[in-house]
Amino acid sequence: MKFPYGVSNFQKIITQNYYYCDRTDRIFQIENAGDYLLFIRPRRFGKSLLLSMLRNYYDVGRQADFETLFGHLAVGRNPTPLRNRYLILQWDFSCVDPTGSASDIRRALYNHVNACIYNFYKEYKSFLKKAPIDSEDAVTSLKHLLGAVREAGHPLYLLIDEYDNFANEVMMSIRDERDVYKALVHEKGPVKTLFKAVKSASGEGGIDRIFITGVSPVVMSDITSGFNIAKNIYLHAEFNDICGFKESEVKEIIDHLSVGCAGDAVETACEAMLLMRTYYNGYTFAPGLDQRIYNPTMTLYFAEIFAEGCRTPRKMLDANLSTDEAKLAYISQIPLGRQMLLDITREQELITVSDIADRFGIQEMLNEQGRDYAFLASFLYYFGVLTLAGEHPDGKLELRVPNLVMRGLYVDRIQRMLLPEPRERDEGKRAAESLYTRGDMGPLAAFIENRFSHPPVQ
Amino acid sequence: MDSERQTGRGYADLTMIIRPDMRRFEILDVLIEFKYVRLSNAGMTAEKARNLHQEELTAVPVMTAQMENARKQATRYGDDLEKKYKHLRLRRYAVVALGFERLWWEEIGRPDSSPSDVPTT
Repeated sequence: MKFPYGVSNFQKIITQNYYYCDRTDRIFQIENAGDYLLFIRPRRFGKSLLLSMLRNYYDVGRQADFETLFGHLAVGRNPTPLRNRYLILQWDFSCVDPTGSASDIRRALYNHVNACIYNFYKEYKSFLKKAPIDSEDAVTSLKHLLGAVREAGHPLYLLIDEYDNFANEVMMSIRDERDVYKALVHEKGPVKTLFKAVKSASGEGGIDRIFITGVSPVVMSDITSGFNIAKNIYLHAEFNDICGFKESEVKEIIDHLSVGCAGDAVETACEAMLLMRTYYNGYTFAPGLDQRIYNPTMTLYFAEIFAEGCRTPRKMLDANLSTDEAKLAYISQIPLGRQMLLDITREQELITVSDIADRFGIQEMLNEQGRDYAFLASFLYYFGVLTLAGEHPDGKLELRVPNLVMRGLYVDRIQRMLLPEPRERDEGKRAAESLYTRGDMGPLAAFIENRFSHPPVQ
Repeated sequence: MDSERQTGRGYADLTMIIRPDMRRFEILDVLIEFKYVRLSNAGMTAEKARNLHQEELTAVPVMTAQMENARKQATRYGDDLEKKYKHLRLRRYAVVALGFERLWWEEIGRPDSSPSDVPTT
């Protein structure tokens, strides 16, 4: 069994025999959900692979590959009438460099869109006539492209991956860069202008369907007057498990791998499952649903190591996910956020909010008054460091830390908050060590007394 | 790695359970029951608390009462944990803080190893 760790190319996964967790049965549901969809999930949750799968399914140029790619999957037995019907235009905004001034980012964004349009003509040269690309203004290039598409008579499917990637980077950075963000999404800003053009082209204009993925709806709120047609499907129960793995799927992988291990396969599998459940499971994205999802990146990370000789990873947190730390660092700068981090790590603590905020924009991010408890909790929900726990009897939503990997991030952040000096943290770690290696509480108790009494003993 | 941290009848303040695959190393499972006594509840200033001898600290009635609570809970949750997990090398501790000034801790179930010399009831 080969695991597609970090691989999000559907065609490669299928043709090179990587493990693929079949989600093609959801194509029907996606089609029925609407024509213009916004799907939000935390980083590293398999969104790009979902897009890649859709691309391969709808692409009019890949009709001949359908049997190879989808024949053995759920949708292969029961395809929808729309399969291989579309010209696919795809943008991936994670390719857009988020550094520099607003005009640098505008340049980067437009260059990316133009490059995608160039590839589009190359890929579909037998389907439509190439129209001019305006190297200065990608919005003009897009308008030309739509003209060519309408003339060719094929519907267009626009896929946008990580629509908010560069904006998230900018948003959480230091203050003067926030002006850059504002410049990007304001009335005449390049992001808003681009989405306005997309909106006016939807339907009769040539764009038949749009599927957008991202991490948070923040940017969508800011450009919403330019683009208010995308339907949010990320809270829908039927899409809760469209990205990420279900318990039964993880168990199937582990059972399969355990057979080759020395010793009792059932016991080995059981122990591995206990680890994975504790560290990687726990995500629920749809309110009122009692279904927990495993983080797919962490699951594949584990599976890949486990597959090489039944070893378990020494570090359960895949280094690729430790960047979520930055979100907690952002929250810890906000006074209310500081308290929230401390609350969350208390045993069995649930954060209760009336709802997940889905319409907060940059103003709320920057404005102290806007950053209330519900805002902070929603922010952490979108970045996957809090997840839905259930519904309170009074109708409010409860959130919790999804698993031990994420709890570890919180504890780490709190450690840095309380003990900003690395030297102090090391001292504290050594004190804790004597507790868990020798059972001696003395050094830890002394460390706490010295560090936290008023005034601290020097 | 106790994610739920729920023992049979309640929640322990802090549990550290070794990953099953790391049990081959010489490290311990740890359970800590923690109580906090405000300086004002003990009728004490920070300075006075700092200067208490260990015997005086452990004789403050509100401290003694909280230590007794922590001790009972550490015993109960520890028993629950040992039922829940096989092969634990569990150490249980009761810790009572007086403000942020002083910590009184005891290891439960191994009274000989504790530095404080308080008779157990």
